[in-house]
Amino acid sequence: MDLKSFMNKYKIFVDTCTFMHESSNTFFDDLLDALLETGNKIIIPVRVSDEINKLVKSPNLKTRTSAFHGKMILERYRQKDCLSEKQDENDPFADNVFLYVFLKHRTRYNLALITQDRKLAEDISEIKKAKSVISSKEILTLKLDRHGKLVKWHFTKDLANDSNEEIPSLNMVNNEVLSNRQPDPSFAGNIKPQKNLKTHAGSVAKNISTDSNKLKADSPDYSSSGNAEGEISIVHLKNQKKVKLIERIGDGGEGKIYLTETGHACKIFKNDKLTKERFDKLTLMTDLRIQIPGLCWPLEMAYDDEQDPIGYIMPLAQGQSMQKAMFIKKRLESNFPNWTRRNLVQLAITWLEKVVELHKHDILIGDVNPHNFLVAGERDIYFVDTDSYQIGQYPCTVGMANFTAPEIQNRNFREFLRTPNNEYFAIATLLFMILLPGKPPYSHQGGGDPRENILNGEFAYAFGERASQGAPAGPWRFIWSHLPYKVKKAFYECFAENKRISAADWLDLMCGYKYDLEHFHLDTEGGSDELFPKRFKALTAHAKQAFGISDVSFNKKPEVDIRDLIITSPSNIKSNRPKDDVAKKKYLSVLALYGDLFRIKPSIRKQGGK
Amino acid sequence: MARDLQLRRADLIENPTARVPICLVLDNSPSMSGEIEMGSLTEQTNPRPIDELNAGLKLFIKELQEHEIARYSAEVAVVTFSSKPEQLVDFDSITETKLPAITVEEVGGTCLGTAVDSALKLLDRRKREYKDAGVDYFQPWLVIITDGRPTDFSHLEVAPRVADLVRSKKLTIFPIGVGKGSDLLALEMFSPSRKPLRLKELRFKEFFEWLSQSVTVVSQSMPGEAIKLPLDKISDWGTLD
Repeated sequence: MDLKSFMNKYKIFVDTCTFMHESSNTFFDDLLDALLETGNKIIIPVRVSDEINKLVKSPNLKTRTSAFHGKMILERYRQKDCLSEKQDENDPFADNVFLYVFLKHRTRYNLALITQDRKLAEDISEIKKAKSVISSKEILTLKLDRHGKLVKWHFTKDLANDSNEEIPSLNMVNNEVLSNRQPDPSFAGNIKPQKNLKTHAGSVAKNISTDSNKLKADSPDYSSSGNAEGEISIVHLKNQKKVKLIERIGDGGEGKIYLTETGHACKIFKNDKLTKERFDKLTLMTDLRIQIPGLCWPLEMAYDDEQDPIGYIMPLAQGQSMQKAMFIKKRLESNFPNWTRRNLVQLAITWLEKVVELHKHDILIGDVNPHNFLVAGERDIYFVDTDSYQIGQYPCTVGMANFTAPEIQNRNFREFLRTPNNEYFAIATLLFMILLPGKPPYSHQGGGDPRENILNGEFAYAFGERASQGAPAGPWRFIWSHLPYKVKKAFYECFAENKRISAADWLDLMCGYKYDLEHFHLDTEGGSDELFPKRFKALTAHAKQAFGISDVSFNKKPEVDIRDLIITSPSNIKSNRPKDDVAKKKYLSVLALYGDLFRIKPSIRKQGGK
Repeated sequence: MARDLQLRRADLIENPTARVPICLVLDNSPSMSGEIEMGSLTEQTNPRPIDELNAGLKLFIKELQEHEIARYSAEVAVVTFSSKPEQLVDFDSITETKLPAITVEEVGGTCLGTAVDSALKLLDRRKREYKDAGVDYFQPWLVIITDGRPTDFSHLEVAPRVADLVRSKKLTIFPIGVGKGSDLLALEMFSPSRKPLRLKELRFKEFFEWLSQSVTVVSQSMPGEAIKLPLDKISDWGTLD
């Protein structure tokens, strides 16, 4: 059953643990869209949001993070008015509230409960079987599987079989954890200890350590590749707390990354890598307590048996690096087979939202590059290697040439603090590579060192009255042509004229782009919503009408190439603007909509058109 | 074996990953068979160098193919040489490549210079193709493996050109000598900054494993970055004279 018919038929209740489910983002996004479309709401007892508000202050990091995650979702639903919060004076406490409500309303409505708690789900479905009331109404119990997909609860099978239902979704191949380096093959499955989250209203504050024992029993994978001999297996936190390291999940130049029993990641530095300066910086970071979903920010320092600092705890990441997940066409298409361009734009929005938040806190990423962001879905991005971010007087000491603004090329990143404007260059570069999946803005025909191209502002794509200066062949020019004018303008000004806009401005642009795509303002037929369109953008009926040129027969051939259009226009566009009205309209509308009037230089044409 | 020209072009255009072109220049003169003539007797070494070389190559391609990024980044060409150079494999994406086994030539010789020259030509052509398509690339790698000493003077002309390219950072070179008969001095003419190494025994596999790791490191960086090769692991397979 699809979401829409589901919500038309049922009153939908959601419990605390579902809001706190780590992989729930995509589900709640889809649900929200469907709710908005059908004008429905989900129902939660006020108890649930009380519970979440309480758990946000929990002393347990894991609980706190999950609760925060849930709070954000609730907040979003409230803003969109898709949440109906019910309070009944007779509401009993805790989980019984659902039983009570379901018992009360079962004869009047079809009811559905989304919960991660087996016991509660069983109790609820028992109501259905109660013979005393004959009702044609239905009761449905559902849960999110570990990939955030909505599935029905089944109780006939035993626990072991039940897990068969949680078949990994086909969208993502190997889940890779935290680091893009040398993923451990034994980690093919999802490693998140779901057990910690199998809580619902009232029972969340359970001791996590008892839960983690269950985790081991449930996940035979862990035993197959425990920590190698001689590796640290327990770290100490403040307040005499100890945390077990379950397994190594990443290996890098600075140190190793472990999965902890609490479902976090723990980075342990190599001997000489945790310098005084780094320790001070990390302390500053942990004190800041910044909470952005998907940001793998240092939460707490970790110490060895002698109470010497050796690393830190952070949220666990999911997904594959942007480079691996989507910067190669084949991988993009196999990882996200249903994606169209609007998913790419949504991904850009998700990414920018987090960047904007960081910038609000005066934090710069510094080393922006596609290895430092993991992608699990269009609304599910993880920022890793955050300990290199620029914060306070601590610079980000690394960076990649491709993402480095011309004014700081060839400088030593250790020796100065980057400015937001430096960062805006990197942001534009990564956005460009998201929208033209994997293609750096400065690749062009005729080559050249990326560093030199950046320094010289050699941006090849056509814009305004400037022709392509040898933009890469194939789909890249098509994609560029299909971008909205404003987006092209922002890229062009950044890369060719060294005028940049902020992350927040980019966010606005991307939201506008998404809106245009969803409302078919662009040339959808011609491929504007495709990942890799196969021809240049053409004027849509919508656009023709908007510009009052519907009488002009622009597209004699449906596959008309925008370049043909210009070449055959009546006058020399560059020196003499077209004089007659029709040509003028053509000219202006094309200019406004495409921003890529081509004056094909014979030399370039020869070079490019081989 | 050689893929359709159109397919090759499509890959160049569609795959935005910066490429690492690697040209292997490999000696396949009769001595690589491991047969040593001693008067009327011939003695066969075990294993045969050529078999070890082929096993190493196979491992090299396999490791690259198994790496999620290097797979889309590395491109390999092979030139073999004995009395004359032969272009065995032209540059192409390695995602589906299966390298043909190298066989030992019957006619002896070590035309080191002409072989390297044809490798340079291949590299130049490939670089031009990258530029035409607007594809980023890393400076190419040239691997030279020989077990003999040059039998002509061609290297005297080619080596200084290669050395210039290396000095101006337009080429990275890995010259390797195999066995006691290899002429490291001739190889050194090609390599102004790094001394040629002599392969320990017949550790081709270890060498190619190291090479694939190095390619992997490069493929995960961006063109123009300073690269740190796993130099500490060279001792697994190579020695300085």
